[in-house]
Amino acid sequence: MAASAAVEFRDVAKSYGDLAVLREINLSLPLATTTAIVGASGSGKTTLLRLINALERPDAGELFVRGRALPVDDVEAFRRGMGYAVQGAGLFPHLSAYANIVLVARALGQDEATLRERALALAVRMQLDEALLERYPGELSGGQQQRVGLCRALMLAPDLLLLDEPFSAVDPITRVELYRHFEALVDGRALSVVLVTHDMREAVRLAGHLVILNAGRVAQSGATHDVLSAPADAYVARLLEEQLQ
Amino acid sequence: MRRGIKPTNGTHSLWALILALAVLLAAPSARAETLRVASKNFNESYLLGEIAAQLLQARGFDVERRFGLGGTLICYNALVGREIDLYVEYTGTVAQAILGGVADTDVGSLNARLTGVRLLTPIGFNNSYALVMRRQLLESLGVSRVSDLLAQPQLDIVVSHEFLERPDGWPGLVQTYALPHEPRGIEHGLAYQALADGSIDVTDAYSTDGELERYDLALLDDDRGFFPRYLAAPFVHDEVSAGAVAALAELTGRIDDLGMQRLNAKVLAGADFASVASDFLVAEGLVSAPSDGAESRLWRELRRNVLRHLQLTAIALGLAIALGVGLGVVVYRRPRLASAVIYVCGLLQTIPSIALLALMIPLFGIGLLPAIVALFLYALLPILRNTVVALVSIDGELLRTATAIGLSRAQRLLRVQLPLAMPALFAGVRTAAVISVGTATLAAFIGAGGLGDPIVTGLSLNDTRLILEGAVPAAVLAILIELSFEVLERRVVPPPLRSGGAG
Repeated sequence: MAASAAVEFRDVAKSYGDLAVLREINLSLPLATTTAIVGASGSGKTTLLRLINALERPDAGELFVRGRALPVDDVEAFRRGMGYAVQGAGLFPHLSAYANIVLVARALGQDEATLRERALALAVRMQLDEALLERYPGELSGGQQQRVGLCRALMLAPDLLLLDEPFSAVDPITRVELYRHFEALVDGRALSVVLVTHDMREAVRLAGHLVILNAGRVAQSGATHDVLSAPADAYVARLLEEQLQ
Repeated sequence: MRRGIKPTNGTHSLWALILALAVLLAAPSARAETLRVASKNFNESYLLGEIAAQLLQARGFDVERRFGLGGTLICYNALVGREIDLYVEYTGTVAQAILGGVADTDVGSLNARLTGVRLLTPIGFNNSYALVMRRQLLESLGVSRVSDLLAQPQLDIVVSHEFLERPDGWPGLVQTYALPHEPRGIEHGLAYQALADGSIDVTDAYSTDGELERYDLALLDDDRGFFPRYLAAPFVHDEVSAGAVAALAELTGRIDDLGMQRLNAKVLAGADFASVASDFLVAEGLVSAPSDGAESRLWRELRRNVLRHLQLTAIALGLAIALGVGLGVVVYRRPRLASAVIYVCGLLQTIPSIALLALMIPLFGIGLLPAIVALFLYALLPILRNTVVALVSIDGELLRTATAIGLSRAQRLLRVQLPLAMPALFAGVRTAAVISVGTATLAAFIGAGGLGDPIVTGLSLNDTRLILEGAVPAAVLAILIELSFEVLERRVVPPPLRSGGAG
């Protein structure tokens, strides 16, 4: 079945014990577009992301990723079809930057020459010097770590990229550099991106589609310019006003 | 980019090393045509064992020494179980301790009651209880037999507490001879000194004690044949070849009571068993000349002991690593099991090593196997505990990332969790290794050999030189193992995780 959306939520709910984290989530995230999930801490945005790659299971409702209903049988292959990068990069400290990038591909038994070619191409795109790849994460700056994390997320050439606040752990100057790297990365590619962030400026700059969460519910979902021009409610309006002035 | 694949390679080379070491060290024990000569853990037994061993070596047999076994039943069971091939036993001991108190103590009737094992012709001397006096006093009073004491009621008889109680000691003696004396008890170790300085007149002794010679004491003849006879004879199992039996038969009639006293006295005076045995064999014309000097013997012994020690430690440690890490992973995944498993392992750790070794004997006999099992049980806890703690303390966010990027459970374990656990795991292995090297010295008590052999012998002889012959190499070995683990750690643990490493 040809997917009409990258990710689709139908009446999805999720609780941890008595705490309802997500309620009545109905969303359709467009293909080949960067979607930003924006919300305050505790709004449920990270849980939303973890539902997509099956780190969490919904309590109710249905979830489709690229047209496939969850849960899937081979969850590992399913996850390998999506890139994943998190705040602080989530690099494994015992592996060099290079070994982090090629970790999954190597575990799959892909041949080293191919691995290397692809990893170096990604590094070039992220402006990571080849010598830096020899280093361990602890020997890299925060911005370099994030770029290595993005290379790792893209190593298996996914068509869906999940990013959990990947730009928030670095200083503002580095962050703007990272935005440029990210834009260069998605530019001209049919890559669907789900970007979780609490930073509305970042969302507006990078995303073509916005989903605004408020206390576990979708406050608004739509193309960025539509959301900016017509906030759905007072919460969205205040968020835009406070963060974008 | 080569650094990136190092950790996995390192893990492989660790296993390869352990395997190679185990194979290498296991190899020497698989030699054919070897006689395993044992002894109990007292001087005379060591000396007789050494004499038998050297004689057999001179007759072309390969000999493995399993000296210092802790008691009659351990030796006997080892002989019956074919874990040793021979040791020197006493007819009275066979009658009392092994056959449960039969009256007939001649070799023929004892052998008729034994199955699978037999005593050979006695060597000559009789190591029994006897009453002793200063030679000077004995001569001045003109006494020579126990019955002569009837006419000497003034003599102060002081005997060991054990002799005072045993039916084959004073109670039986006084009945047989109707002695009028009222003996007191004394600690056996003090009796010779008391006798020598004249504070007592008569005490009990073993008739071949080296002290008799040393203090110039004389035995009173047991003229009514009260004391059971303890004739020393090689004790072998039925599969020992006729050639070996013939070689041992050469000892028949070579050592009488006085001869044994003198040999024991030499050991008491500080000579080592090997040279006393070798001097005896040469003097008797049984062996032409010492086959090699003391120096090369020292080195040969040292090499053999060190190899055996390493063999014990390496096999036990290898098993403990395999099971400890495996069990650690299982326990980590089932937290409800964790406390129970760690508790049981901790409990094992509280058993004193010598007791744990002794507990292995009924299960595995004596020798290498029970020692390896005991060392393995000791090494298990530090490895298991460190594995579990290391796995538990890995950052949960990293594990979630490992899952999210599509690694399977096995891949997460091998590529993320175990490498991250490696420093703590390695520390556990290191602790276990040092414990094993130390504890392995005690394995000599159950006949496993190693550097504990000279220590155990030295302790029973109160011979510091001999103790150091085992203790110093054991300490050096512990240090070397510590150092080699440092080197190994550099290969196995990724640099950022090393103490003092980058990151």
